[in-house]
Amino acid sequence: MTPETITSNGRRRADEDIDVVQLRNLGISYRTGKREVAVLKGITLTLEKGRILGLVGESGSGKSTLASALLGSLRTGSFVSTGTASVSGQDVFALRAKELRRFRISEVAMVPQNAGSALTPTMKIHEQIAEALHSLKGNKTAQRSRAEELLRLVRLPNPAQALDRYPHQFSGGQQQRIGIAVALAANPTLLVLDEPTTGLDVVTQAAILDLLSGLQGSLGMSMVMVSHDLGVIEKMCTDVAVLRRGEIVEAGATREVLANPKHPYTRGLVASVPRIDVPGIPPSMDQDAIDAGEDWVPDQEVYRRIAPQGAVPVLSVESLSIDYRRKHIPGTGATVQDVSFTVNAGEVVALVGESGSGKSSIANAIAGLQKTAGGRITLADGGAGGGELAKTVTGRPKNLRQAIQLIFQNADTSLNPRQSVHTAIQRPINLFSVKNASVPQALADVDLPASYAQRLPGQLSGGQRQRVGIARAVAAAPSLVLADEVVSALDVSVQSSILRLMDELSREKSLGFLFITHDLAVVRAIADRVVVLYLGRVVEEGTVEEIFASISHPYSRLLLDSVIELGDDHDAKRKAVKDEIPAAPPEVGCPFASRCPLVRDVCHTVAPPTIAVSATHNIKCHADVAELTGVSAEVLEGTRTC
Amino acid sequence: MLTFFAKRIGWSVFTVLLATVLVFSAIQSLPGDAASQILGQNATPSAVATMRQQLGLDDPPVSRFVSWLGNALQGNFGNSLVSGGSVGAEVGSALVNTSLLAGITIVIGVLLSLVLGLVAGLTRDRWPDISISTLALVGMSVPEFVVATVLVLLFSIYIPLFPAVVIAGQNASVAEILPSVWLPAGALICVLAAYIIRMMRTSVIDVMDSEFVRTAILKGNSTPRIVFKHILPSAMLPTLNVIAMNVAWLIGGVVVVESIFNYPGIGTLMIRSVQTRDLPAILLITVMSALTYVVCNLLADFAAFLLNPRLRYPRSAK
Repeated sequence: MTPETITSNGRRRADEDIDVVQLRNLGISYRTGKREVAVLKGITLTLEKGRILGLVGESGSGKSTLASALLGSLRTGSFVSTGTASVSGQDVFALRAKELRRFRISEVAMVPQNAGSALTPTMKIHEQIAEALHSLKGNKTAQRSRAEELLRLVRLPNPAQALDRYPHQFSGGQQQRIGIAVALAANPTLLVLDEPTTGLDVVTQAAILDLLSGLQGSLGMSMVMVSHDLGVIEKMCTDVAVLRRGEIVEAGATREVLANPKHPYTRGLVASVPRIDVPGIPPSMDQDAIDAGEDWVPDQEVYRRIAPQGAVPVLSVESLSIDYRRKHIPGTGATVQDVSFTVNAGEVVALVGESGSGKSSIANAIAGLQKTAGGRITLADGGAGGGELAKTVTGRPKNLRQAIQLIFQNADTSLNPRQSVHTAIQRPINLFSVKNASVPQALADVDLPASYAQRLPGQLSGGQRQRVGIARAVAAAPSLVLADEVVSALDVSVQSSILRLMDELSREKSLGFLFITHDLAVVRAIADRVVVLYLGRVVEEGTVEEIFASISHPYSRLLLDSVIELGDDHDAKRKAVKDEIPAAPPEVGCPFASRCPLVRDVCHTVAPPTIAVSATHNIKCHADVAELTGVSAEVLEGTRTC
Repeated sequence: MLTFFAKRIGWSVFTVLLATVLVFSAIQSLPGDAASQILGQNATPSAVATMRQQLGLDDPPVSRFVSWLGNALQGNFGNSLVSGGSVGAEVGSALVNTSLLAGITIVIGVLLSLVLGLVAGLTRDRWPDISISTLALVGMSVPEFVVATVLVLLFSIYIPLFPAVVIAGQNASVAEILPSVWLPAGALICVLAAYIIRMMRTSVIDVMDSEFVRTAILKGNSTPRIVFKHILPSAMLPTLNVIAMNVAWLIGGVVVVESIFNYPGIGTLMIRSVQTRDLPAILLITVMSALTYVVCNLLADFAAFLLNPRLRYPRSAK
């Protein structure tokens, strides 16, 4: 099944000089004890000058190892087992320490995944850029002005002031821009980007990617970009190599490979990405069939979830507000203000917004982990007895604590590594004396074999750990489950199966799910109703069809327009948007006023009225419905097939 | 920034005051009072009563504490029950001697252990690290009196370089004491260095694992630049508090080492005062050592403030 020789663009050329990257049968392994484990196996690829290569793959595919290998960097304990890697004509693993330094100075630079932790916290920005300006060594003024120029190039606000600041004084998106500026400072022949936008919000991601394609065009750099996001790869890369377990399974021109994938794994990958324009949960990948070498074709059917009939409320949140300010700061409002919504039995309600929109604060308040400044949170009587929830979890009786359970984003850090799966699941059963519940039953509920009870979290895969996290929550027989970004750390092939599991549990056990996420495609796949938050205020709510239909709040529209998906027209010019969220919500008026394209004077002073588009669809905006009817009509369901 | 300093200083003053109250009450609850202590076991009850009155021991503890504190703030810490001289002067001269010992220990010990810890961290699991870490572990596990005895054996008996004990008395001048400082300082450095080396090593290893150091390496920086600009400032931060605690311990708790070498410092004075039940001296020494702990930690906070831009420029001050 493994293709023998692949060049990244599938063409044969006589002139080898124009290749920036040339990998020949590259293998990288590491030693554990006496065993050698291969991370990369027989990687052969080339990249022509001026082209952009995408490395796609799931966790454990070796894509990051491959990216750092291009800079001649290996993790401690790793070694090159076979082959060579040549970048800009230099055999990177044959370079001696001094030559390697010179190579990194002049030929290749890296934009790390998380600039927040990749910038030295104790050094000012200009020092960190100046370090890479080797040609201007010793000339402080020239360094400073070049650094300022670079910051302007990456469109950082106030570049002159930014020079003397420290990394922690910038937002995540700004830090990523600085990371790019630092990488560009060296004027590299090859720029390696390791998941450059993964930690960022959609709007910021779109802005950073636009910036990168602009820079690539004007500077004529070659790039290698690592990503797990097929949409991002399709938008950015001319060539693509799909990695699975350390091997390239398919490579070629991006559009060709993604539009017409040949390898079953690539086909599965493309099929399992949830899409905004295809409602429902995509099919999951059959890794076993791929392993067995079968010519597996993914099931093209997506699973359409049907919203539950009848509205039996489980949770109702009324005028909730949360305030982190110690004292009143003029011009700013509370972090979360006047948020109201309900979750019905068997229903999945998605809370959507960028980071800083207060979605996790609201979940924490419902769980009793966050002090509220006002409002009521009421749990309906689900047999266990309901009532208004006390502000903190210590003030709540056992039955109310039992009724609300949490599932966390990182199952690996939320499970005690030294406790078996059995202990983790048995605990809530004992604590709440749940009747008719047992560990094998709970494991069966999440489709795990009963024998897994004896395992430790470290012996499970990421998806299995998340299943255990769900089993632990469901074993308590709750009526409401708070799921905070539960699938965002998972590979797409696992994501679908977890979403299917949540769908099943919500229907079979009449569980209400409050699903918190920033990923609109996942919302489209699983949610019945959606609440859109901006700076701690609800700007729009409605059923999932209504939210993705043509009438939207300008902020929802911005979010939808920023999503980068497979099959989009990536060449279409994007509207210039302000991608920076204000640090704090305004005291009066509409929270979105500072970024809204439809802004008018009244928005800055008066809180927006509620426009009832339908009985279930509400938008808070000063504009009228005609203006809110957007151009993105193609996102309407069924207009495009994949 | 000013509020940061003001707050820290305010808390420090409060801590010292609290420590003083605790020490004062602890001494009050010791069996036997100063009057019978001075007059001896054969004193008549009336003599004791007169003495108590003279010393003001009949006053309620609170008023005695207030008057002690008032006098103390003016530099009058009372008179020794043994010698009758000013406790302030006695403790002062012992403190000078101890400070000399501690100063030498701190300068050499801290610098040495920072360098060794850095080297150990940078050469993780290779021979320099293994030898430094092993030595540090030995330094930690062997009690200081053993180290001291071994040092005496080596450097004043086999190779007679330094005096084994200090002959000069409590009032000896710095010049008289200086030759005899080195052996006790050596013993103290061994113990002090062990902790700081281990902390520094761990912290350097942590920082080296961080993404920003990896990025700095991939930028093609030279090794000295990576070590001094990227690693050192961040690695120093957790080490500062360990240094502060150890330095404070040096000044307050060098009892064992000082008494082995008969070094006329605060530790020796403390032992003698306890033996003779010289309450005003005990009180002052304990308060002084509390003060030292607080000042050292305060200095560590300020140093952290200088090293860590996240403290200097909180994010909200945009």
